[in-house]
Amino acid sequence: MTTATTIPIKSDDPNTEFACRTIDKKERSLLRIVIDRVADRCRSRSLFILHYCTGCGAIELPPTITSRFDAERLGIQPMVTPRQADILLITGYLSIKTLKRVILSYEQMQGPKYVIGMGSCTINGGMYWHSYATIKRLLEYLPVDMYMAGCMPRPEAILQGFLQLIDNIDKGRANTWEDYYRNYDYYLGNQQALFGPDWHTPTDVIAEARHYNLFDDNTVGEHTALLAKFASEYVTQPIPVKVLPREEIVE
Amino acid sequence: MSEQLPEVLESVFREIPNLVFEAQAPRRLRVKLRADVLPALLELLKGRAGYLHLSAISCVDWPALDEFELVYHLWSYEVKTLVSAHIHIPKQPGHYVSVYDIYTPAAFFERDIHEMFGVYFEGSPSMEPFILTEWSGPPPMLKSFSTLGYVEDTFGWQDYSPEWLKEIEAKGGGIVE
Amino acid sequence: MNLLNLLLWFSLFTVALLYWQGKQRYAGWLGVMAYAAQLSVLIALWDKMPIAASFSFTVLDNTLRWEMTGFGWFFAVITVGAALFSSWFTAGEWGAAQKDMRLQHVALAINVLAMLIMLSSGDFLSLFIGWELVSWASYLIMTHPGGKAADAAFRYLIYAMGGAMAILAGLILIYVQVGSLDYAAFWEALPNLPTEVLWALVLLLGGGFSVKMAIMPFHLWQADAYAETPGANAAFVSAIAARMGLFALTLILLKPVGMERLIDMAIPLTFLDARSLLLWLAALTAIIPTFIALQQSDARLLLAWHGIGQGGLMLLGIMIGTKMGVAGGLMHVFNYATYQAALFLAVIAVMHRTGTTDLDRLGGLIVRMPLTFVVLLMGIIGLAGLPPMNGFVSKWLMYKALLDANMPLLLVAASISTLGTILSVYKLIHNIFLGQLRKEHYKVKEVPWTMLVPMLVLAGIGFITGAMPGLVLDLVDKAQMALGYATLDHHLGGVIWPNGGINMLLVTGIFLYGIGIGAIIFFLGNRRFIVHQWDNYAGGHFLTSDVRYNYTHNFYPGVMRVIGPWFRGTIVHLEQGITNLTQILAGAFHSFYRVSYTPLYLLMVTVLALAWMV
Repeated sequence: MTTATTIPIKSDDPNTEFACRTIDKKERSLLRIVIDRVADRCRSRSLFILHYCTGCGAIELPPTITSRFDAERLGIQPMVTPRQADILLITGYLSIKTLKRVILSYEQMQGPKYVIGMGSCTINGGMYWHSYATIKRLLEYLPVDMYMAGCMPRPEAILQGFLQLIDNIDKGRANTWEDYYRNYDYYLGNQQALFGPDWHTPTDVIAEARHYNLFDDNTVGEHTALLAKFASEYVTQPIPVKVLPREEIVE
Repeated sequence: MSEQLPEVLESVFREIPNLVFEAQAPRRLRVKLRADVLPALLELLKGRAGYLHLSAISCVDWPALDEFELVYHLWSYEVKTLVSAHIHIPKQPGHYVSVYDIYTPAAFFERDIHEMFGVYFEGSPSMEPFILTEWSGPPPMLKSFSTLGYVEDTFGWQDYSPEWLKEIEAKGGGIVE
Repeated sequence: MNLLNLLLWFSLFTVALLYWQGKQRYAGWLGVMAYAAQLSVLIALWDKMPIAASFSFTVLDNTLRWEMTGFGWFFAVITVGAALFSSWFTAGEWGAAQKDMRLQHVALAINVLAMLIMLSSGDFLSLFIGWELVSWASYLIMTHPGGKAADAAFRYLIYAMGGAMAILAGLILIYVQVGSLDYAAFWEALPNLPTEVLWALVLLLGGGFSVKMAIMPFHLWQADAYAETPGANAAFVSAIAARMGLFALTLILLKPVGMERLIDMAIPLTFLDARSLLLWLAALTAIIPTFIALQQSDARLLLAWHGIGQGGLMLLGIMIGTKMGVAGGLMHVFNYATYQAALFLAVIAVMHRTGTTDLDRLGGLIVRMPLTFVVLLMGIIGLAGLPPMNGFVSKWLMYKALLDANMPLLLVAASISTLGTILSVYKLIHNIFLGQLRKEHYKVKEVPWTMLVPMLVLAGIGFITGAMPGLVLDLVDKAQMALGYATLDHHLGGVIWPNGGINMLLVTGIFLYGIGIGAIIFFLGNRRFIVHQWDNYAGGHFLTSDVRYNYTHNFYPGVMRVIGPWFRGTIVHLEQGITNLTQILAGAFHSFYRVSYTPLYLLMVTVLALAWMV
């Protein structure tokens, strides 16, 4: 049996490079704390996976989900569309072409949503490090909640990763999805570096950020400004052009 | 002409000037010929010997010769012998004629070779990007293209050292660059 | 001046008024007021029936009388109501967009007049005159835009003329046998008529009136003709015009006394009697046109085919002959008129905005025309016979009557028809309102209030009479009493019946309770975030306006593969055969006379046939 091969990206360690600002938990009212706690508990017990098996992992997942390892006893089962899914499970390498589709699917998922990078390729390209056609670090393009290293990780490792994720959700720690809205400009910039300045998805992420109350300083910026020329086709609300830095707001 | 060679192939090969062939295996023939007579060979093979199946066109980059080698793999269900026709074309300008009018599946292979090696096939129905729709760099299968250099220029490396990896490294294992 | 005279005078006055003022912008509102006046006279007739008109004529010592009974009154209320809403629909922007609005107004008014004359007929001769007036008025309302409509209307005319000849022959047979053209005399003589004569009557009158009802096998003309009728008049004709056949047939043959005779008339060598024959014809009419509707790709044709199928259901209900069955059949006439008019008006509203009713070319309009969507949704719920709309109540009555009358196979047949209805109305609403909004419809707006309000009111009537079917059953009582059937015990919410009644107030309450929970979750939960329609999952594909990600063409291919071969075109081939035969005969006649005048030949043939028969 393999050892656990999961690396939680988000932890309570403030020095983690990937830490993002979270809602100040002390500001919440007692009622809100209770509701959030119940909601987190419920959420962690019913997770639907959208499994994106374009790379590898199509062999490891079926035993994980079916009767041998039976992920459904953890409340995890596959889902066919991103709208109903909670977890985007990316198994193995992603070519640049499929990354587009992954981003499209990710943006169509409803928050809260969690991304699991499964296999070493999502961390550093794995054995495809030399390839010109695959991306190396998934978390440059999407906020990743959890990596399961290995090539491929065995079902035991996958299950352990699921348990870790469930625990993170239960404790309210798994909120990297908010990071995508808060730092959308950063992610979009990385995506544009790969796909060119004409890259855009039909999802109006900025309006969604407002919808989730996650609009922040870095939601818009120089990269999102390039989206303006597609606004008439896709965007349901006008794109804000300029956001004042925090210092100016204070003044 | 060797005795194993089927008569029909022998009659075809006799018509092509400067054709050299060798039998690599009982049912595999490696044929070398001048680039300008390849369409004639394909026509003859298809017309006389029932070579209806163009299995693949492969391309090899020879940086020392400054040439591309194109290999046309053909199969006949009557003769039951694979004919691999090798031709060499100069890298500059890297143009060759399409055999789409003889074998329609050639369009697929030629488009792929154009994308990966930059060989232009005149008369092929489409030379548009095929698989690498996001690609804007040089043809990536050329020997002159350094994939590692490209990757190191384009992508970053993230360091990570989880506990379990440290244990492995303590035993002398770890990540191999 | 008595009220029936007043009603007919009002109707005649409406024709004159609309002819005189039809070109004005406010002509539609004049029509609304005129029909409202007629409707108020009808309401004033509530407890004064039967009422005879004060005028009469004597032709060859037969008196032509006009008398409104509760049965005719029931149909008259629906007729004038349908005309009122159709006229209302045309009163505003829609009418302004039409070139021939005067003709449409006048055609509608003439139809109402003709129908009122027919519905208040007091004897066979006035009935026949009314019948002919209705036929020709229908022809007028269908034909005037020319082109395809004229072709369809001409086909109708051929059928109607054949039917009229059969009816005429039947009436002459009655006159010969009974010696009078009075209704009462005929009904008195009915129990003692020889079976052969009665068979001839059933075939002649049943066949003749079935043409108008489009009972199989005479169903081919109706869908095309009604679908091609221009504008709001299509809503009127499909809501009520075809019911004139039902009225006449029921009035003459389907009173309790006639029903008894029909049951006695066994068909030799089979287990059927005349009533079962008609019942099964009605059941087939309920099934087959419904599944033909399933195949249609034009919204108006789809609805028109449904009209035929629902007509079959009404006849089925009345043919059961129990008080519940008759009440169900008659109630279905009313209910059907409300939702069919609403559906047709909604489809015409869509056509007004998009220029097409082709189901393959529409889609996603819910975001542009939400209120029209609501009307269509309520309409199809009624058409499919689901609670809480009124279609459910009448279908429930008919099903219950079928069960109580020990006719389980017919119940299965009616259920199959309902299944086809549900399938095809889903196609209707899906292809028009759900799915992908087409690029050419991005700028479409909701129709103006003048068109919306009548649709919404009709849908509202459908809902209210669904929740309180007692309102309609009060009207049905009048008709049932006039026919001679016992009335159904009912209250505001439903029917009292020994082995299980129905209370729609309760059903609707439960229904709204369920919706209420959903609404609470919907409105008190998180705010909605409406996404663009291209922000849609297509297996990782990026959607654009030129990609059809929502296919509406070739709906239900699986069902079609199974049921398609069963009835593909058999009747059409029959009709084609008859047409060819007629053409050969007409050619032969033509070579004799060098004149092409089909009605004359038809009349001549009928007279010859009668002479031979008598």
